[in-house]
Amino acid sequence: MNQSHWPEDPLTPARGAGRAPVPSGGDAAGDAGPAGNVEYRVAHLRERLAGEELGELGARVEVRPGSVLVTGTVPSAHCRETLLATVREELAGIEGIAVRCDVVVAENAAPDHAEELS
Amino acid sequence: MIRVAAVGDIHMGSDSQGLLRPAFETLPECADLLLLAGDLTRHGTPEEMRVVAREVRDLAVPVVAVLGNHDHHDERPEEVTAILREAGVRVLEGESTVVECAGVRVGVAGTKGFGGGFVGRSAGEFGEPLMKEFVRATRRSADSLGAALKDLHGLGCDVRVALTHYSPVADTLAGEPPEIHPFLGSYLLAEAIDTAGADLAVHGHAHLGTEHGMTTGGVRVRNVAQPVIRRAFNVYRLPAREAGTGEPGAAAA
Repeated sequence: MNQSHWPEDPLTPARGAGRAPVPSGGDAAGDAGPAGNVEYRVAHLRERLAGEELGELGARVEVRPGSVLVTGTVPSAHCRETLLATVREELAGIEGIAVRCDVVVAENAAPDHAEELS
Repeated sequence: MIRVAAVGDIHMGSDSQGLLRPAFETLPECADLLLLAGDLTRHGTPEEMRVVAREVRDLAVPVVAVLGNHDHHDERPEEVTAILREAGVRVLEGESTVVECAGVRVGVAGTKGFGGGFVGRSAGEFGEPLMKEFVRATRRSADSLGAALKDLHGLGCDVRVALTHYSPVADTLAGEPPEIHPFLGSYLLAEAIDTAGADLAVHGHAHLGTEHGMTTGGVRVRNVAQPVIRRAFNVYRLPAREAGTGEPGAAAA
């Protein structure tokens, strides 16, 4: 498979799946509120992508107003499926946040030209 | 003219067998050698490196490689290096090799490299032992790269290429968050390249970076991480230095 590109692949995580939401109460750790909650969840997601089956350090996970955007290039369609499943699981149940993935599979074709370095 | 094919960060695993082989089999038509700029696997396991080895075994062009940080994750760099070498790949770590291509002597000096950052925003050899060791590891790597490039100069190579996994310049990191640049490369690598001289520097590691860059000394740098070049490999055509002109970068048109 040379290229698989799903330009906008919204994910709607099922509530209650994956890691329990980080409390966003009034103590020092929780003062960040819902936005801080999302940031910690994203940090945990990045840890899982790196530490589990994928060993994926190249994906970018960005928190935007009202959404989380996941972008990057992965080596195979299987890796993409695994990445999306991990995202779905880890970011499940966050109220008011849309998760969007723009992850492509690496192109494996030979180049059609060379670069001249003179 | 020498044609250098290069790719890094192919991150092969058990599901990858055969993905790159069809493109690699076209190499004799478009390139004289293939450089692999590290992160050939996902976790650096022998099983993953055997997938890589089968992908490049018996290619009709010489293959030269360095390991990347992923290839160290399983902490068996010697074992995975041996698997590549058994498949005919020349694996470099602070070493050089000379490839004869159609009468042209191409020297490749290689090291994984390491982080530390770039001038004005770099880590220093100061403070906690772990911090000092971090910077010293990069310095050792850069020193070995410089020595290997100098060796190639002494061997009269027509073209010299520096092959690393980590980046020698910040140019090719454009697109990566600046906050992580110290984990993506070090100016010490560029300083070694500029001091010893090279015609081209090739690296990987920065998936979100850009392909083109240059050292302060004018050596062209190419980030060939597969997510950046979006192909199985890229090819760079370099003029061979005229006999008798020993200066680095003094390539004949």
